[in-house]
Amino acid sequence: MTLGIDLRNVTVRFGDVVALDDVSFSLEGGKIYGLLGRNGSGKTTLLSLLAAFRPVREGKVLVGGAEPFENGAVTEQVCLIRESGIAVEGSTVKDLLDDAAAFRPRWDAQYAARLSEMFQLPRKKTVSKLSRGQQSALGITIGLASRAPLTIFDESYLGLDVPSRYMFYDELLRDYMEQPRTVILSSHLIEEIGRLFEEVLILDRGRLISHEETETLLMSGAAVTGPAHLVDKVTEGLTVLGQQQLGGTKSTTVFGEISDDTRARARAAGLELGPVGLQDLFVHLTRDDERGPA
Amino acid sequence: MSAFVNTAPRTWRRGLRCGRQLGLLMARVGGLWFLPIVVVVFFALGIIQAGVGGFEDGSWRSVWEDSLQPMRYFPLAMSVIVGAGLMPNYVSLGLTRREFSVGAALMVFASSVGFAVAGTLGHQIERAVFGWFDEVPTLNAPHLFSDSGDVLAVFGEYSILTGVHMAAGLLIGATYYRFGGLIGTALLPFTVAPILAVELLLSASYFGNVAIDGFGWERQPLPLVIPACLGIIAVTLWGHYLFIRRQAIKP
Repeated sequence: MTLGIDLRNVTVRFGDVVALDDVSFSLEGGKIYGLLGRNGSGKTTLLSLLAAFRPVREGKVLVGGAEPFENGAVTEQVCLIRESGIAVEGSTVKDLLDDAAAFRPRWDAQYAARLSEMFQLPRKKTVSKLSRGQQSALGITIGLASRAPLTIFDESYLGLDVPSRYMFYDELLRDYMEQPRTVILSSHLIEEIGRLFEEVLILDRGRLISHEETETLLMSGAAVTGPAHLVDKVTEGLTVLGQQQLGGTKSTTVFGEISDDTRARARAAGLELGPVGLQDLFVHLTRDDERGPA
Repeated sequence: MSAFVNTAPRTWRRGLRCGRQLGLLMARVGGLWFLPIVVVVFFALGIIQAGVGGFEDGSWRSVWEDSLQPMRYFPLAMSVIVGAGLMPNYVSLGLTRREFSVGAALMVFASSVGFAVAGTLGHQIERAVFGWFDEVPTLNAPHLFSDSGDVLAVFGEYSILTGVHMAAGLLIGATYYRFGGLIGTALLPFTVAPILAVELLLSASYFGNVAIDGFGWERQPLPLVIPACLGIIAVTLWGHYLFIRRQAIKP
């Protein structure tokens, strides 16, 4: 079972700060979506609306065709795992797994036990005494074993070390193939996790600046490298995302559809046309030299 | 038309499940950890009293009478934790705030009954033990009962006082969660108001004593008092729901 998502003109304000600014999009569901954005871009706010963590005040959010806020029929189908705050002080790993089993209608206890073993989670230990990596592993265990038709991980795996993160990516993919559902992954680790995304949404300062299939997005950019004067000539009129020059050699990253004619001209001129990585595209699309780090 | 339409039976079913989880938590922490400590402490006080032949004027006062204090302040503290800590956790596990409120109300009901049974049982055991020494436990504070052998009145007082403390605890926890420590503390006069109102109506415990001795307050007839107290508990629980029903879960 999978769930589609519709957002229509959603705006969220915190006082004077606009966290989400007139965001609209539709996800058909049954895919792995990547939600990318810099710190403070509105990712967590957006995901909080989907999981009914906060009410929608402007616009409309539909999950499976229904508004999720205070709708138990929807919220039991949506599992949002965040990086922190998964347990109240004093709760043990077992307490949390028991609560998840009580409230998640598709909870797979055997799978949860297998994941707990895989991540070496001590069931009797209080959650607050777990390492950051173990807390992340606990969140992942709950998220995967919930088998929720809409499963969302909001940077919840950042605490894992690299081998454990790769274990998570493999496990997520394997389970997703066996139990198709809608998965949204929000992350800063784009290079690592980008291979999982079927579609990518990019938020920047509360606005949705891109929503494409991953392949389409990657095809929408190119790095043109070669003699500077030739690169400038070929990229003339295209949206330049970034430039680097070393001596007479220049590399210009362009965004937008590059016509076959332009490609042919570039190759004929001896220029190299390389793909742009998802992370590079993301950096270029969200870079704002006026803005410091959030 | 979406297939995901919420229904009242679903809300009650999931609310019951929430109540079961919270009840199990209270039973585990309250029953297996807190109550044994209370029993040991008050049993020790009883032995000391027996050893010195009575604490005050030689009469054997009820030791278990004072168990009413921990029996309501501990559930109050637990409710604050449930209201401030478990509400966001349970919402993140897919419960709605309405379902959580139903579950929390069931927890208040079940815990109040549980603590009242323990309290009543304690008084009866105390009477039996005192009886072996030809003594009758005397009571110091005003109560619904003048004789701790009045099982129904003892049970009623314990359950109502524990219930209102737990209901107020949920409200206190919710205000602390929403507004933080400073404003949550500033709002305490409002959030503990149900407790004061019930103590006044029951004319029992500390504030009942103050009202009676200080202001000449007289208890109204019980057929009025009991429904009024239950009404205050119900309104407090309803107020808790109204307070959290649009509450955002913090990141």
